[in-house]
Amino acid sequence: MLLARKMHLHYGPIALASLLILGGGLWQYSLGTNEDPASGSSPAGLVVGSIAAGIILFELLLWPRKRLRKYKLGRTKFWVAYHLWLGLACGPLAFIHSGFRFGGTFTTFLMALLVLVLASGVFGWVMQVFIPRWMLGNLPQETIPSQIDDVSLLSALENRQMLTVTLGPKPPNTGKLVVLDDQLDALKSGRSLPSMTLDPTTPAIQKSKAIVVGALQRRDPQRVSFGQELADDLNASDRSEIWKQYTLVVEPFLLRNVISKSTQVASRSPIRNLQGAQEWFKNLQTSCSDSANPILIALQSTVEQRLQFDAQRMAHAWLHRWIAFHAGISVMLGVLLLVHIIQSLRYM
Amino acid sequence: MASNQELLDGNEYISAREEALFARDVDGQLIRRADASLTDLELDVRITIDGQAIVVKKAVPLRNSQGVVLVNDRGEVIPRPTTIYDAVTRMYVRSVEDINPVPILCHREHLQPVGVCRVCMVEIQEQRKSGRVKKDLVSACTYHVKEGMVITTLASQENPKTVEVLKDSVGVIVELLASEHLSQQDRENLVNAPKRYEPNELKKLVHRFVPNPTQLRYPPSELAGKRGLDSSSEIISVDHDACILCQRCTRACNEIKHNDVMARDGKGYPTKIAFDTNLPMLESSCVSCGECVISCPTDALQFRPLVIEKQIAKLSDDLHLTQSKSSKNSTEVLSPEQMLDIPIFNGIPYKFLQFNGGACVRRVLQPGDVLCKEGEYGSTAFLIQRGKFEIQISRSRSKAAKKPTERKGFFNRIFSSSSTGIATLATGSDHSNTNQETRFFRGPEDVILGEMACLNRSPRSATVVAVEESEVIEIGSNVLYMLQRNSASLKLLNEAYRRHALNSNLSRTPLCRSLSVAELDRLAQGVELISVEPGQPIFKEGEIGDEVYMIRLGYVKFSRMQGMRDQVITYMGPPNIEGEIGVFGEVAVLSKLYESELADELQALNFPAGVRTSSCTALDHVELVRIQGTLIRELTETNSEFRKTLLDRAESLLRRDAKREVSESTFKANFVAQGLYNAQSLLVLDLESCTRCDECSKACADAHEGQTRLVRDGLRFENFLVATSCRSCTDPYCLVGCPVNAIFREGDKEIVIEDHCIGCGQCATNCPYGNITMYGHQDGYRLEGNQKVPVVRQRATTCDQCKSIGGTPRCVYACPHEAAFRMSGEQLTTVVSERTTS
Ligand code: HEM
Ligand code: SF4
Ligand code: SF4
Ligand code: FES
Repeated sequence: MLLARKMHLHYGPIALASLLILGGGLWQYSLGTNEDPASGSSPAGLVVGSIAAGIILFELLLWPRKRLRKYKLGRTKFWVAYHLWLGLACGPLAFIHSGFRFGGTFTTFLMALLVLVLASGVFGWVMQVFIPRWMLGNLPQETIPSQIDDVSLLSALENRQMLTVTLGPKPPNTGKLVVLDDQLDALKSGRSLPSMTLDPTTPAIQKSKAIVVGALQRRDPQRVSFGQELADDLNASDRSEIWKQYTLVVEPFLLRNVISKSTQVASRSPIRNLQGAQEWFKNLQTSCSDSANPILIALQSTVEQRLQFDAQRMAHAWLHRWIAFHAGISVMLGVLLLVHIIQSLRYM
Repeated sequence: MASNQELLDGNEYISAREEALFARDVDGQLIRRADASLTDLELDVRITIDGQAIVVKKAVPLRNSQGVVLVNDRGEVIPRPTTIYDAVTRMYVRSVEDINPVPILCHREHLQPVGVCRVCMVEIQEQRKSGRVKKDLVSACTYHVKEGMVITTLASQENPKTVEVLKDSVGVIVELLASEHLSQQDRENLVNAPKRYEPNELKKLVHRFVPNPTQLRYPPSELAGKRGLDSSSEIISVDHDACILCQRCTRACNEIKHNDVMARDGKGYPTKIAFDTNLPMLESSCVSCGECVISCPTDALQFRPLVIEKQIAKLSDDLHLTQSKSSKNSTEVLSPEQMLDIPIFNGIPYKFLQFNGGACVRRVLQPGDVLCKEGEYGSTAFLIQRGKFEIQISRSRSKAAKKPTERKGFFNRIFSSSSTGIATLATGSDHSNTNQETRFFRGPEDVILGEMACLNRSPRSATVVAVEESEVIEIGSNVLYMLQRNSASLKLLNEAYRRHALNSNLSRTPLCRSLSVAELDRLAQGVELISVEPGQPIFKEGEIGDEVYMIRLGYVKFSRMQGMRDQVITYMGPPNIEGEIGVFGEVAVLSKLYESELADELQALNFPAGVRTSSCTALDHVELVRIQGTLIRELTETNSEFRKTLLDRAESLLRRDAKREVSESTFKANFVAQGLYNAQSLLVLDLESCTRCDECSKACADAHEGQTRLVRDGLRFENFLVATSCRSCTDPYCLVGCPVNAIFREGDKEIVIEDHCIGCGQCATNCPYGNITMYGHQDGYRLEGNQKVPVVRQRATTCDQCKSIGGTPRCVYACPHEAAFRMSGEQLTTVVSERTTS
């Protein structure tokens, strides 16, 4: 079903109203057919046309309504509900108004534009119903879109800290970091990083307060500091291998879009999709000793988070890009409709 | 060496010699000192003070600045050795009017003693291990009491010679301090007695101990008068010349407020107090909470006149408000001076009262005037000065029935089963009970009214009406906190709290409905009040339990081991919150008392009688009333009605426990872990319909000067996102500790932050959900032409549910979809469980 749960409660009456208007239009039209061929200029056509025009005007008003958020002009969700159903009704009404003909070039164009507006609206509606559900199931780590790069930056920083704590400082021959520590710090300016801690029950690193807004401060004091026990079991080759892979593959991927150098590297990255990433980390795991696992799992979770962010960007685009088109052509429709009205009134 | 021997001997405290000569670290703290042990808390030490014998315990519980006993991870009280000052206080300070004969300067009761000023000198005679009796002058604030110790203070009658010696030695110290840290002008003024409320404690000591303040024996050092000022901050000014390095400010900053900004810098005469790495105050990480100023016994740290003016402006606003609210009663805002003339405020620093203009209001009420109404939120308490008040507590809270939980039905059952059977209680002279209400009277001997709402941020638990012309002083929570810092006023308050808590808690809970006034009194006498810190266990599953608990403040959770995991079953809050019963732990007690009656239920659960069926842990700071099982037995044996109520409850609790499923537990666990039980108005976004269009946060920003008060991110609860926005908690942690009482809740549930916020960030730190945002000038100054004018660095903002713009939260209003809602935690569970079942 296209409607979200419980939506029928307040959509029902609105849809009914739209149907009534539509029915009224048809009835008007049926009155008209007996005397002379119905057209826009017949009384019935005029009435139906005016209603359709009124609806279009109302539809356009959604735009200013949404900009005037500060004022109490009626709940936006009701505006949108009316928008959807009256909008749907207005297509057939316009068609009735024209007597099921397209008329001249101008009116044909107007009709086409209306169809486009309607189609894009329906398209958007469908997107708005399905994509959020998909996101709910598939992107548990989603964040605020504008914060994606910021969060990635912070995960890179945290990763570096985590590696320094567990593996020791980066050995010299393990590749070049895309940015130096202090540059990264500067990028992120002004925010202090809390010390690394690990939730004893999960291997994933606790996200710092700087990242997750609304995170709960843990009130029970069971924090275990991450690193000490781990660091003892790791051998030198693990240490340099993980640092190297991190420097060459993981971090450039995380910092894609944040730092241009890194964006180039990342476009060929073996971890640019989920499958690739999982495989790559599996290989890395087999080439390192078991005690490195918690570190690799933590790194992998940051990569997977980044992959979710990418998916989120896509989803976000599908959710919102169409509005520009829909709203753009609807403004055009509005202007041309005005021309159409003036013209028709003149030649009546 | 004997002294070495003493050092090695774990039970001996370090002696005066070692303490004075060495073993101090850079902060002036003793490096090695034998800790007190738990047994010391019970160990009697007999000492003599000024000829009078007195018995004190060898150690006392370590307390925080609010007099709350601190406990370690294992839940044990932390002992600290009893000092001479403690003992002298016990002997001489019985009421708030009494004055301790031992002067103190660097010490305050709520701070850890450091013993740097030595004005608290007393003479002691103690028997050393060698058998010799030694006389010594020691600092009372740091020196620990010992068996057989004989102490002479300045108040001694029989030892005038020692008193002279003490006076002389304190005099020398005070004179030295005066010559270095008081200006010529100050000293000349001291020929006359300083005023009672003189904030400069050094001046008072000079007047007391130095016969001629204008002619001092000791010249100042070369540095005197040249140490400089720091006036970078808008709120606090620092005069290094007046500073005597008593370290009260540094301890206040680091130990009380945990801001860790202040320390001493340098060595010898040039030593100064410093902010961070000796930065100007404005540039340091100082949050301007004012704690250091309040603690400073000299003029070194002071509030700048501008701040005081702002407080006074607020003061008149407040006056205006209260007067318009209740025009009949006369209301008067008290000045700091007026307040200090009232005995109970004795221990409050003058500067604190300056900083908190408008915090105290005198109200005179006529007979019939209502002081406060049951169910309303209020952030103030009332100190009763004269008159008589009637307290009316309604027994059935009509709203309780509306609570949409599975527990509701259960509670109602108890309500109805017991309320039909209420015995009409004996109407004694000041008690009366009807089916609807409990009424009793309060007068000046009860000291305070309304403290529960003020301290616990809970709704008023009773309606209070003046019976005759009465006078109260209305104080804000931070004044009350200050009163609790002082042991004399704390003692007074604690007794009152105890009476009140029992009165209102015990008579409120449906379980005690059937008890007569005499029985309630019996109960009240036999209980103890205890407090538990977040995360600490109250009891553990499988333990033998012989106590019943009642919650006064805070929330507890119940959990049970399921395999390897500790599964949360449920949580509980105090009974003054709608629909809460607030009593727990009775199942173990009753199952032991009435094993045969509860046999079936116990068997279903496979639990032996008398054993805790779940673990109980404090979720936040919890205060409890503990009732011993024997007392319960006593009452159940004489009152069959009471027994039936309790048994019915135990039975249904056991039945419910047997039925509970694991899936529900995980759901509850999340609910508890996210603190949703505490939330009255969550902003939740249905992630199934939310299109992430951000209209909600844009609307919030548009409505509030471009700064959003919500962040569309946070933790998820099932299919909902619990957005980062104020939840109007039932127990708002943010309200605790605002130094200027700028954040409060009055009347409704919304939390409001007023303009006189100084941006210390305390509230933002306290909010466990990150819902308070600090906005402002990061630089701490504003440019006026070329001049840098210091300004308040930042201000706290939080969602007030759009109360300031006429209500209707704009976030929900502006959402174009069926996605944004405001609801309580309980409502959220209802919505979620409806969805999962449908
Ligand atoms: C005459 C026809 C229509 C006109 C002139 C029109 C115009 C507009 C305008 C101006 C907006 C505001 C864009 C913004 O938020 O900036 C809008 C939004 C929207 N329209 Fe239409 N529209 C029409 C018909 C329809 C129809 C038939 C549908 C779907 C059945 C539809 C679905 C939507 C949706 C889903 C939105 C986005 C609402 C939101 O998420 O805030 N529109 N339309
Ligand atoms: S409202 Fe918050 S930030 Fe402002 S002074 Fe009070 S505690 Fe500090
Ligand atoms: S306004 Fe509504 S749909 Fe938009 S982000 Fe907020 S909750 Fe989601
Ligand atoms: S008050 Fe005891 S040394 Fe200062």
